[in-house]
Amino acid sequence: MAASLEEMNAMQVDILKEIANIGAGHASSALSMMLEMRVEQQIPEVSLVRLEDMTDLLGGAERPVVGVGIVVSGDIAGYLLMLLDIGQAEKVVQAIRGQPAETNEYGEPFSMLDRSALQETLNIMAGSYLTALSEMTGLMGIPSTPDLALDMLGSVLSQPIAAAGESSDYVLYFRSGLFSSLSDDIGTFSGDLLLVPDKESYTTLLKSLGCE
Amino acid sequence: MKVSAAPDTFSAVGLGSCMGVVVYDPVRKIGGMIHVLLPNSKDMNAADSRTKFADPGIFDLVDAVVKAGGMRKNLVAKMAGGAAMLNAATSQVGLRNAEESKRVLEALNVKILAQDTGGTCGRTVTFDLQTCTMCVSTLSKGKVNF
Repeated sequence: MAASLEEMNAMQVDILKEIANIGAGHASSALSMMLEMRVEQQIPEVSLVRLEDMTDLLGGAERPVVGVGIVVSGDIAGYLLMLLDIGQAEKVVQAIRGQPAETNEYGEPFSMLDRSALQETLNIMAGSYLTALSEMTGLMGIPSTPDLALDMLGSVLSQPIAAAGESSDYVLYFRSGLFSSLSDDIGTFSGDLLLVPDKESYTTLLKSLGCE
Repeated sequence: MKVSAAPDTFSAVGLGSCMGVVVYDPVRKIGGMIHVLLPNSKDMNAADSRTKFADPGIFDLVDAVVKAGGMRKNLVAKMAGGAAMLNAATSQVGLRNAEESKRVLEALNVKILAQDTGGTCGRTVTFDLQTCTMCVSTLSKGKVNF
């Protein structure tokens, strides 16, 4: 089974790249509407990463991250996760709310409205990429409402990893500059988007990409 | 699974819904730890590691500690983890991990001396075989020893 784009055949690579391309296009329009300014999502690098390699690839189990997660059900089921450095999450909040991130009533980073802004960003990403996936493969994934955790990377990934199959299974990883403002006063945000299929969906997804 | 003797330590970093379960002989200071991902093995594939499940992993852990020289009647346990990290309404895996770990330990007559489970925070756990102390640290609440 192919582990990287180099090892997959040309058609499989094209399908993944097209999902990334279409997803980025949808996300750019939707984010622009939400922010009421022109933003563009750069087309992310997309790869299949082994579940067991994911934690290390993303910076190690102890790395503090903001994880926003959606449970996906339907033809493709599992988790869709957006992972951001705390600093990047603060930038996103600033861009959306027009004011810096605040603490919540427990003194923890990100107030309820800040978290809402981050969750909404994932809603948009999820809708965009799940639509793109469906356009390219015919597989429908239906998103839940999002949830947010600010914690160690290993902890945030534990639930999706439990739901997924064997550690040698693959995860669809969109590594991205999330989006950048075309008027340049906000800059670029980076983060990672992961689609972690559960046990049953894993083979469905691979088959649809033409992988056996 | 890691099995050892004092003055060695075990650690598990970034536990979320996972559990770190330690079974040890406090007299001989011999023990072991497993990192539980799922409650039981009804979904187990041939390739899966047994110790990623509370059942049969904890059974295997007890056997391994005895094989390493721990006395069966002395064995006790400490454990931590089983949090609800994201979308808890859909996935209760953390809670089920904690419940299943408890059930297996009770079935084996291994007394749970202390535990820190549930909640919504990730935990990093270390266990020191010399002092037989478990140290749990979280991003928001610092360190707790028991």
